[in-house]
Amino acid sequence: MSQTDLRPEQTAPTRRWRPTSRTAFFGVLLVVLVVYTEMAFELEWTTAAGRIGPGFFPRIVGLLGFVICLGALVNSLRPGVGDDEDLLEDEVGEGDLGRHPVPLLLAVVAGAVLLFTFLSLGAIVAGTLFMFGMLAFLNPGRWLFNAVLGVAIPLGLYLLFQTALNAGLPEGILPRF
Amino acid sequence: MDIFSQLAGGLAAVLTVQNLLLLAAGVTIGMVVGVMPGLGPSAGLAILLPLTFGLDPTGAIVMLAAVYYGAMYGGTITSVLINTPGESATVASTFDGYPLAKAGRAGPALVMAAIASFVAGTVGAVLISFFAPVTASVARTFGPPELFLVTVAGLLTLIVIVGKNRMLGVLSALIGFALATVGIDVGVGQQRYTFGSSELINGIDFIPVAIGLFGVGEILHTLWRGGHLEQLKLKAISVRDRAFWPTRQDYKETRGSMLRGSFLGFFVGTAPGAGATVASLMSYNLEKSVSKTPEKFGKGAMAGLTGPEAANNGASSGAMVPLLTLGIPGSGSTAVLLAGFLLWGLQPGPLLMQQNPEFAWGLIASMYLGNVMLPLVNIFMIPAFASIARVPFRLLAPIVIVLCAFGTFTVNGSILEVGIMLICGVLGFYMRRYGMSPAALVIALVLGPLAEETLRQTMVVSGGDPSIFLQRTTSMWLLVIIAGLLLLPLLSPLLKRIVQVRVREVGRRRRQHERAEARRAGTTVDEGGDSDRSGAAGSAEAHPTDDVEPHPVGAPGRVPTDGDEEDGR
Repeated sequence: MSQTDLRPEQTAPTRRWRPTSRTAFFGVLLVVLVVYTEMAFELEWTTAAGRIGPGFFPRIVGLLGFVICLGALVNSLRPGVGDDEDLLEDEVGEGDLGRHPVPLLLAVVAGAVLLFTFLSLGAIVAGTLFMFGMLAFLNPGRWLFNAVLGVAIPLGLYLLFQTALNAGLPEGILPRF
Repeated sequence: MDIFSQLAGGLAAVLTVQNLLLLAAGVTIGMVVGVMPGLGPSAGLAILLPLTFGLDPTGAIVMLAAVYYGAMYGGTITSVLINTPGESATVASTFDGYPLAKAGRAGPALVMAAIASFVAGTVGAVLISFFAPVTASVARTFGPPELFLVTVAGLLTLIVIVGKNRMLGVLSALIGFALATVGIDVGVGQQRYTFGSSELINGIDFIPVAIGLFGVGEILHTLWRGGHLEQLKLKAISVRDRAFWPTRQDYKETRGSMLRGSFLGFFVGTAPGAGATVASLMSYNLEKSVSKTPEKFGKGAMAGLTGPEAANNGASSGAMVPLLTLGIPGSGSTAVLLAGFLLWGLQPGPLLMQQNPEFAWGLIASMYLGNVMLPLVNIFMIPAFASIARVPFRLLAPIVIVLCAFGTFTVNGSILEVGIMLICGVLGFYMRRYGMSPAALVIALVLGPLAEETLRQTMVVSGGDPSIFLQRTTSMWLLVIIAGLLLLPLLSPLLKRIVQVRVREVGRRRRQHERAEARRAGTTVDEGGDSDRSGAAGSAEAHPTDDVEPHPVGAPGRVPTDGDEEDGR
C-alpha cells in the first residue's frame, strides 16, 4: 500500500506568454506598418500603360514588413524573451551601471521642449534652456559651471553655424548677429 | 587610362593649400569625434555634414573622408586607454590594447596602432587605385537589372553577415525602404505619404535620420545604461616620456601582422556589409592562430593590437571600392559619404570615374595624403586626444544633442526635420535595445530610391517580364551571389571550420619550425604555443568572427557606438 505524500504539491512555476516593453515596441511598429500598407493599397499597383505604379514598391515593403513585425511581436510574447535583453553585440568592457529610464525620459522631454521652442525663442535661448534642464539633472550642484556651459555651448554653435557659415539658424527673441 | 597619370592628376587636384588644411582639419576633427563616447564615424560624419555645405565638392568630400579615417583611429584611443571601444570596429583593439595600457605601455600601444593604421591605409590606397578602375569598368556593363540586383545583394550582405537576428535586420531595411517612399513617385509624379505637407514632398532627407539614429540614439542608449554616472580613471601620458615610444622588439613582432591585417581588411571591406568590425575580428583570430606565442594574446601581445588595427583601416579603404564604383554603401559611415556625394550632385557608380575622374582620383589621392597626415597628427596629439576622453559623458550628452539639433536645422531650415531627427533618436534607441539594425535602415533609405527606379526601368525594358533577370549573364551571376548569401548562414559553420583548421595548421608548423631552429642553435624555446590546446581553439570560441561577443575585460567604461558595421556600424 502506498503512503500518501502529505507535503503540499510543489509545481514548477508556470511560464506564461506575457507582454513586455519589447512587445509594446513591435506593437507600435506593427500599427504603423498596417497604416502604411493600407495607404499603399490606395495607390495604383500598375499605371494605365502597364508600368510599375506608385503602389508597387510600398505594397511589397508594407506586406513583408507586416509579416516580419508580426512574427517579432509574437516572439516577444514567448516566455524567456525578457525586457532586459539587450541584443547589441558590441557593448564591451561596460560595467553594470544598471538601467536608468529617468535621464532617458528627461532627454526626450527636454528634446521635445527644444523642438517646440526652437523657432519662437530662437536657437540660442531654446538651446540654453535645454542645456540648463539637462545639466541640472546630470551635473547637479555645480550651478555656476552649468550656467556658463549652458550659455556658452548654444552661443558658440550659433556663432559657428549662423555668424560664420550663415546657415540660417533662427534668432527668435534675440536680435540677429 | 594610365593609373599613375590619373593618380598624379588627382594629387594635383588635392594639393592645394585649402584642401591640405581641410585634410588636416578633417583628420583632427575625426579623431576628436572618435574619442568621444557615444559617437563614432557614422554619427560624426552625419553631424559634421552640414558644416561642409559652404565648401566646394572636392574640398568637402576630402574633409569628410579625412573625418572618416580620423574617427576610425579615434575609437582606438578609448579602446586602449579605458577598455571601451569608440565603435564596434575597434572592439578587437581592446583585447590586447587595454592589457598593454594596464602594464604601463599605453604609449607604445597607441603609437604602434597609429603605425598599423598608416601601413594599412597606404596599402589600401594603393589597392584602391588598381581595383576601383577595374571594378568600375566591369560595372559600366551593368544595366538596370544588374544595378537592382547589386542593390539587393549589398543590403543582403549587411544583414546576413553582420546581423545577429537576420529577420530583424530585414525589418530594419524594410523600414528604411518605407521611409524612402515618402515624397513624389518619380514614375507618375504622384505624392506618397506626404499628408499634405509641402516639406514632405521632397521626401525624408537622409541627414536627420542618420543624425537621429546614430547620434541621438547612441546618446539616449548611453544615458539609459548609466553612462552619466561613470567615473573614469585615466592616466596621463606624455610624448616626452621615454616609455611612450615603442621598442625595436615591438616593430619586429608586428611586421607580419600589419601586412596581413592590411590585405585581409581591404578585401573583407570591399564586401558591402562586412566592414571593419568583421575584418578586425578575423584579423585577431588569424594573428592568434599563426603566432609563435599565442599564449600572450589577451595579455598584451602587440600583434594582437596591430593586426586588428591594420584590418580596421584596410577595411575603411576597401569599403570605398563598392561606394565609388557601384554606388553601394557598405556601412552607415559610407552611406553618409554617399549622401554627401549626392548632395553635391555627384552620382557614385560605374560612370563616376569616367565622368568625374578629377573628383574620384582626387578622393583616392586624398587617401594617400590622409594616411601621411594621420600618424603625424595622431602620434604627437595622442595625449591631447586622450584628455578629451576624460570629459564626463554627463557633460557631453546635452552638448551633442544640441549640436545635432542645430546641425539638422541648418540642412534645409526645416523644424520638421529636427522633429524627424528626434523621433529617429528614440527609434534608434529602441532598435539598439531590441536587436534591429540602424545601419541597414540608413542604407535602405539611401538605396531605396535607386532600387525602385532601377526596378521600374527593368520592367520598362523587359515589358513587364521578370524573367529578364534570368536572360542576362551578369544578372544570373548576381542571382547566384544572392542565393549564396541566403545560404551563407547554413554553410558558414562548415566554412569557418575549414578555414580555422587550415590557419591553425599554419600556426602549428611555424611554431614547430621555430622550435627546431632553436634546438639547432642550442637555445630554449617557450613550449606554450601548441595550437590545439592554446590560442587557436580559444580564439575560435572566445572571439568568433561572425558574432561579436563581448570580451570580458575589466574596467567599466562607455558604451561604444555602432556601426556597420560596417562599420557594421
